[in-house]
Amino acid sequence: MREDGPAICDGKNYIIIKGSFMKLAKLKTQKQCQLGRASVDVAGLLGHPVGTQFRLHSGGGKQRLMRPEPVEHTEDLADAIAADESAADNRNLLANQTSQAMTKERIMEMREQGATGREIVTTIVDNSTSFQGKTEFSQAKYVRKKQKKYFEFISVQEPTVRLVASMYYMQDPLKIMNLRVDSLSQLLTACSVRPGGRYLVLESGCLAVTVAAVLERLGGHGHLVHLFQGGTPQRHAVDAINFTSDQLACLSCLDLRTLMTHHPADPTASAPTASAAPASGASPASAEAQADKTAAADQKTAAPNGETALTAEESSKPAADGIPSSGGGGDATPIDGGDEVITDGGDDVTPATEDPAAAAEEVEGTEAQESRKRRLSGSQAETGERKSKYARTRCEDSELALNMLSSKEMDGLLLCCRQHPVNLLRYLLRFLAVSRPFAVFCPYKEPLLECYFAMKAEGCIMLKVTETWLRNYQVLPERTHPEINMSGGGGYILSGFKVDRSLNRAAVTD
Amino acid sequence: MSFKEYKTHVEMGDTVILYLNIKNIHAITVSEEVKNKKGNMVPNIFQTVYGALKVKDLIGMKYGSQVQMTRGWAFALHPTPELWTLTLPHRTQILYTPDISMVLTQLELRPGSVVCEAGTGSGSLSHAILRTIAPTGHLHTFDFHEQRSRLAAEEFSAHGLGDYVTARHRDVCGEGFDLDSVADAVFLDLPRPYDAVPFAKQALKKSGTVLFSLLGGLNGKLR
Repeated sequence: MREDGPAICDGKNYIIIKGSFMKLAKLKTQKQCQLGRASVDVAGLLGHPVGTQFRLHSGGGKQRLMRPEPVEHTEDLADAIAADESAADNRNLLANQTSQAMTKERIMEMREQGATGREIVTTIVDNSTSFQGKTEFSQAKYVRKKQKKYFEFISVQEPTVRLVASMYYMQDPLKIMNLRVDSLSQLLTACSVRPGGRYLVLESGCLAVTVAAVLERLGGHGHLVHLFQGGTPQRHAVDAINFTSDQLACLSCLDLRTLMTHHPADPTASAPTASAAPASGASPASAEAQADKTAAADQKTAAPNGETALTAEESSKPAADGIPSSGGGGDATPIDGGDEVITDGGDDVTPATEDPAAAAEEVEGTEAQESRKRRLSGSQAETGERKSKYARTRCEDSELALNMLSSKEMDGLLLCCRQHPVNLLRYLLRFLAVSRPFAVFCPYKEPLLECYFAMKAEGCIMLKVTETWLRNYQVLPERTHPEINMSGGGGYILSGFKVDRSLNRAAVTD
Repeated sequence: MSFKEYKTHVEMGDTVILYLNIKNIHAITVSEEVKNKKGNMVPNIFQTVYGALKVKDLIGMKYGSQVQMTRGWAFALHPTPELWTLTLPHRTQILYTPDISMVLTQLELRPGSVVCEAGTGSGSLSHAILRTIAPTGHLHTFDFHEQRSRLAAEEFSAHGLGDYVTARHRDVCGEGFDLDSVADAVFLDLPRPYDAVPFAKQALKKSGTVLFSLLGGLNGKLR
């Protein structure tokens, strides 16, 4: 007898799938789960194996509370509702508004009275005068279309990077910089992300999807430094997935400004503004590119944005290179603690009021906000039991990350930020070990072309800028073909390897 | 030996990726001698457009550094499954990195996953899977061609991956996987994948996924 997988638990995050609609929700016994206009009684979901499909029964009443019932299979009504007659082609079909006898009100009534999806669709089909005149394929298509609207099956899935990234992309691709799931998958292989490796990910404005993706592939072995710009790092995807504390312990976050204080861009510069020089050349271009990109609302990050990434305005002087001791960590904390801006919900990207996914985001937002507040109050975490699921306080995190980066032997570098990547890439390349890959994602290719030439100048090899198309197919007997609409926006990726060219400087005497 | 973990310096037995230029990349196994076409053991010297390379001179070099040859130089890179895909000897048509990336993501592979793969082919996807599921996962890979199955097994072993993979010579469409409820994921790249589907179902855990490629291009998925 095959063992069931893990059960749906109280208090954990799950992805609820209804047809093609996906939603992230934390299931709590006392609450209902909101799905569009209906709400689902959570108690009926708990205890069943993850992945179970449920049929929703109407509970009636104004609240439209649905009662879930586990089922082995969902029905495809197109098979169930077979017509006696069908036509060979559509020569006799007339497109007028009179073929359907059922009215909207009548259907709503049926719904409220608790009619099943099958009953409603059957009634609609029976009341259609043109149904018999359609071809078989056309009848099936019609039934499937109606079924989609009155579909009453949901399934509850474990949130994985694949589902979470697909969900965000489906809800609003701009929130994750058009990072489509195939592009995300290629970032992971371009950097050859493997368990036990040490990875540096600069991410801002992608809802932590790349961070979660790398973390999933590390599986508790290795380390990931999440470099961010602005007040607080985004945590959405990381919080959405039910990572264990072992897996989360692999993650440490570090503010870019803190990093630059310890490892200034130009060590020979005596004044902080000197390091603005390389940035200024790119500023006009990057300011424009940035203006375009941040149209999607990045206003809450009051902190300096991309084009000034290399000017450490807050630091007084470039600190000497060196691994900060815990005493020296005190130097870092004023910068860390001082300009902490606790943005609400960590929702740096858009206000969480807009869309159907808002409810889900609020769940994540409050959770992230709470855990962040706990982490910021460092002293509390020192005593006895930590309330936060994160292993370290913000300060401990920064220190750990700095120590790791100081060795300058990271196994992979991944950039996925809203700011123009060229200066950031030039700066961060120093932390990558030789013979290790880097990858940069950008929703536009022009910044990557600049990066391509910059990296060529740095001596990197195997440089490639790629774009992928992702095409969905309808797969049905005799009707298999690509779908009419295809996503054109999946972003671009630059990848390459860092190498050591020191031999080249010596004369070749052979 | 360098597929298992990252190393800093080249050792005997390693696979080194020699990079001359973007169109000229080769995988070299580091050994003193190598078998030539006639079956005799000869000193391992690799000829390139930039001159000859005595392969044993690679030993002790740092990965990522330049390698001097008689008429120029090249780079010695640490192998990754992606570089292996570009340089491996083809015994069959292989999957390339963009498709491999999607397979890894759609099957939700991660450390600890148990995967079934049919057919093994030239081991391109296999190496990527092994990198993703190590050190706690396992790959069961099957091919109905005896020689290919054996060559793949030899490669896995030479690359230090033997503990994480079981390569079997078996026709899964006719005989099944001989596995019961162990796999988190099954990947089928076969001429008639539907024949293997019932066996795949048998091999899968209740919560597993199957992915197969049809016509070398179309993807279908069942859960």
